[in-house]
Amino acid sequence: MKRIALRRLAALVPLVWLVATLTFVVVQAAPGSYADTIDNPRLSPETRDAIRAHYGLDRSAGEQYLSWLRAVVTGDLGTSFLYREPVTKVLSRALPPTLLLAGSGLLLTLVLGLALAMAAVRHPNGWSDRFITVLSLTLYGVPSFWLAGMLILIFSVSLGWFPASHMHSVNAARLSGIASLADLLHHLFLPAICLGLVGAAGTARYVRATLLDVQASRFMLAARARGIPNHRLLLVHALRPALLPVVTLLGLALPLLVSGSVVIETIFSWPGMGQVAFNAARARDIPLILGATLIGAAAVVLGNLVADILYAVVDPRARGEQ
Amino acid sequence: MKTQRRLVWGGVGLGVLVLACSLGPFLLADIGDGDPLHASLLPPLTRVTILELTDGRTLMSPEVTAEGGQYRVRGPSSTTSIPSVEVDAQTGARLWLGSDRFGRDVLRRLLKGGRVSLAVAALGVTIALVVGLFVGLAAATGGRVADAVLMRTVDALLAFPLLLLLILLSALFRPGPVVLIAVLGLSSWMGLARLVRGQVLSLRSRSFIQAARVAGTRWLRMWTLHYLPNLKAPVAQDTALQMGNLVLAEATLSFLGLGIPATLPSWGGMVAEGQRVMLDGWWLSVFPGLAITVLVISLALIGDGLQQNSKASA
Repeated sequence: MKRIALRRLAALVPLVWLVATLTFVVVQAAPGSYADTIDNPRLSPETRDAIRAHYGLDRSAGEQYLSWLRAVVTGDLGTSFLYREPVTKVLSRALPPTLLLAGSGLLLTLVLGLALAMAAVRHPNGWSDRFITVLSLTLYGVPSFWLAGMLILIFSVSLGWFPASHMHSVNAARLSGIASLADLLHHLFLPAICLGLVGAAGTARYVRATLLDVQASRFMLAARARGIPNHRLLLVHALRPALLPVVTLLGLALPLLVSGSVVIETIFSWPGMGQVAFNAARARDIPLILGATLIGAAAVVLGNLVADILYAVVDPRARGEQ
Repeated sequence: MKTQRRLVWGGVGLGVLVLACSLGPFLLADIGDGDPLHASLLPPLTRVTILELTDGRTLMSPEVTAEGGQYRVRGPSSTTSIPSVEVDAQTGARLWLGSDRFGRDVLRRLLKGGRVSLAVAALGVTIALVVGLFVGLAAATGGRVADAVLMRTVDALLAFPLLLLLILLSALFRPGPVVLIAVLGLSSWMGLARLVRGQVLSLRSRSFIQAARVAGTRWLRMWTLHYLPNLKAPVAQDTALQMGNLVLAEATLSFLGLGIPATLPSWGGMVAEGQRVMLDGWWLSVFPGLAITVLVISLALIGDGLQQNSKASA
């Protein structure tokens, strides 16, 4: 098992390289450069050329690519044009908020999704099942940016229960440890719910179907015949096999979660990777674009790897193969 | 039984939206480009009077009175008086979903935006369908090297967060609708390619395919006569779900201001516009959001129904 994990880890490198190279090609093919996005009418064409030369944008694409690649191997992602700081510094500042938001979203996705699915299959086709089916279908179709707007309208504007944007209050620096944690959670609530609800809908739909399949199997009949109580039947016997596809699904949902964070971060002014990537793309900040996609792709590939390993943990049958 | 119901509901939802968007704008009273002075931000169900002037302008307001040879058109901030001789025609209309900041009919814009959303998603999914089918079939039947190259490419593209890619591409290229369709289509064929490859590989072990291969059937005939007909059900199901994803992706991009240009109405763009004035008019963002939701749910229901149909018949 360890060897498999190591081999997969090694295969990760060319994949991430491929994604970064693809991004580089796309950025190079796009019209305009950072020098053109500086919004200053008094800038003469000569100055713009000088700026281009200063950032090394006057070199050929191949030269830029090779020098970037050489630097990346040594762990240097270059300097961001926009933030005038090393890319690694910008990204390491933006990564924790995103991990926090995406992690909470993932947790909510799992907990809510499983809870809804289990509540639904207790009485298949009963009123609670129907309600949950309709609810999860509705949430599945709701665009996350619209849901975010509605939640802000209801819970921030009308009721005033939760803040509508940012990660901390203005006076957060003066708060004590516990108070500042509470402040953070208070700000985290709405964006995390947005991410979690949309994800939970898909998970619930999926798990409900697999739980129903599992319940029809013979080992469930045998367990029921042994007189095992209903809740134990559901929580222990049915849930474990039903978790298998969920683990794979979570691996596949990771790109979605990363993408979803971009939108949610933009709406809630959450200072994370999504905002950085969005700003970088708009300013043609090549080193930052490349750095952000590199991290994003690595996160997704790593997530898939973790999902595969978890799969082997949950399912003893998968350990021997491959 | 239940699967039929899903298909029916999904079909009804999609059908109603398509019909409304294609025919609706012809059936509604034409109120031109609206009237920002006298009819901005009117709530749903408001009845307005429309005055068509001899110089071609249109005035619209819920409060129009005629007295002493003059029309008085009242708006929230200004009142205009028009001599009766300058008024060509007077008609009434109901703004079922209210009006926006510029005094435009929200329902009308919603239906026009729906055309854009539906067309973009349908054309994008067609591109994805063609590319996905081709790559999947080529990988499954084109030998080991082609399979490895194609499937590793698919892996790499799947590892790329789709929306991030779309945001990157749209921010870099500032696309019009055509580029947007191409980008959406070319970034969403990977799942289909995987599905087709798996299906074809499992088909190849079936005896009728083996018999056809032994008989020396040419590849084109193999594809069109043996593989494609057997791929219909799973491909149709995946296409329906994929189209829902594209609707959401297009709406998200338009919401971020990176999709359909602001000169054309689009559902995502309307939500973004509505959220900017959310406190003055909830109807501006609520209805386009609902429209997106209904469309995506309808497509999901159709996909579900097709899947369970093929399960039941297998």
